Amino acid sequence: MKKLVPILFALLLPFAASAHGPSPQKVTETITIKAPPAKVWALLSDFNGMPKWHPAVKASKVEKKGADTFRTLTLKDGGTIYERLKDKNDASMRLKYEIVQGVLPVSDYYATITVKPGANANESTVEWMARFYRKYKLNPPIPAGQDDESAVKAVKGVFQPGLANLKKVAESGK
Amino acid sequence: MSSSILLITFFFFSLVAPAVGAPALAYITNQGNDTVSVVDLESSKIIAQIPVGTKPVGVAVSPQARRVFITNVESGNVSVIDTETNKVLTQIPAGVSPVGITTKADGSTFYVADWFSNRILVIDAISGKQLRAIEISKAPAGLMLSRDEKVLYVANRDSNDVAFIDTSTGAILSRIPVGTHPFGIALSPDGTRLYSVNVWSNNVSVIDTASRKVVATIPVGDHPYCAALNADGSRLYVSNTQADTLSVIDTANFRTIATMDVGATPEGVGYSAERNQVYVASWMENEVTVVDAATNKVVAHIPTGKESRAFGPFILENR
Repeated sequence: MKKLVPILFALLLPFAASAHGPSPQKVTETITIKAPPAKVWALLSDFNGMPKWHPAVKASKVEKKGADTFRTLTLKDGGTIYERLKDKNDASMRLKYEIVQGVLPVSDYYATITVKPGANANESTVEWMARFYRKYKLNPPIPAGQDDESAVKAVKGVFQPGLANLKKVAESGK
Repeated sequence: MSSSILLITFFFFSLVAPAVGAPALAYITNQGNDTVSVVDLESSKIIAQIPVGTKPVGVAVSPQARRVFITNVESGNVSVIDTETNKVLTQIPAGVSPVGITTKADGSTFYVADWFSNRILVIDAISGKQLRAIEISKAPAGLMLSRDEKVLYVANRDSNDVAFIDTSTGAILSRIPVGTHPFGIALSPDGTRLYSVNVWSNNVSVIDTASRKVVATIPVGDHPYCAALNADGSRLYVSNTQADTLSVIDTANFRTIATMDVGATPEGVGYSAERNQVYVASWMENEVTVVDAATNKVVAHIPTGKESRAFGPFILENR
């Protein structure tokens, strides 16, 4: 009987691990850049300008549909992401957008990217935040690669190298 | 003469200051660290951080029973908090993925919306026994009880309707089509109007609870989530999660009279009659934003815990 208990636990574990509910996921990444906020905002506020600073984005194409603005991002590995501009606020230096469809394993994804003044006039802080759900929103079992962890990992994989390269570009002499 | 003035004075004070001693509290679920922050609304201080189950979402309060019920969506249970000690007394199994929750005023029975199983669970709060499971439409979310507790209202997010359930028989009395993806619901203090917050259609459906018909649709901000009413039901407050704002609506004419910036990704909304203030849980900023209902101005930001949600009326007052 004593031997049976660990076996029973082992049998139960996979179910416990997969019993995810519909919780939204959050990724927040921040970087300090030695450049004035206006210079950083000039890079970020250009909704068609992501290839200038994001190392994974090869091309960007913007189109207008009525009052809405969309962009198609083509990644260096060939995948695409189709996004809608939700809001651009020059006064608060904040851009909001959402993914309509694309290669990231996420759903209901929206993000904000904000430039804030840093410790001195020539310094900025950039904060990139996203809220989303995993790709597979239904009842478990969850298909491989469509769980919460995969979704968070993919978004971090966009944000971290993006901000690191944004810093390089903004701090360069141009 | 002087004694009658004294009496009148006492009467007046009893009206404007019903809080005798115990201050109003807010119970805020923090999805990111599996806790509930208890906020003293008089001092704006956190008086307890209570560990609960996994990914807590919903809140229901019973001042009468001195209990707060919390749904933990990923551990499939409800944490029962004793409001005298602010400790968890017990955790009661509650389906696969409990989200919305409401309780009878006396705290004897609570109702849980089990998101993935499309059922409403009726649970005895004392014994922890499941009394009934009611099959309902897809992805049940917000729950409210009618003032006489004879009808349970359910927002069914993925079937775009609000169901009325007879609490004595469990029978579905009515399914009322509303906007797209109804999530939070709020009931007027007199029980005549039910407000359904529709996430995808960016509006609020106003249901007349007697005729069971939608009598108005109010446009609000981007991806609205939850709502609350003030003490006399004249103002409706709606959180707009992707606009990062709170809409204030005059319920006499359903016009928006103010929209203010609050902490990013505002979710749960609560109103305190004792303080005449509105409290908004900010998922992105990990705080509660405090709005003065008299001026419609943000007056404070109170840090809570990671990813605050507070889904359901989370203010405990009249203690």
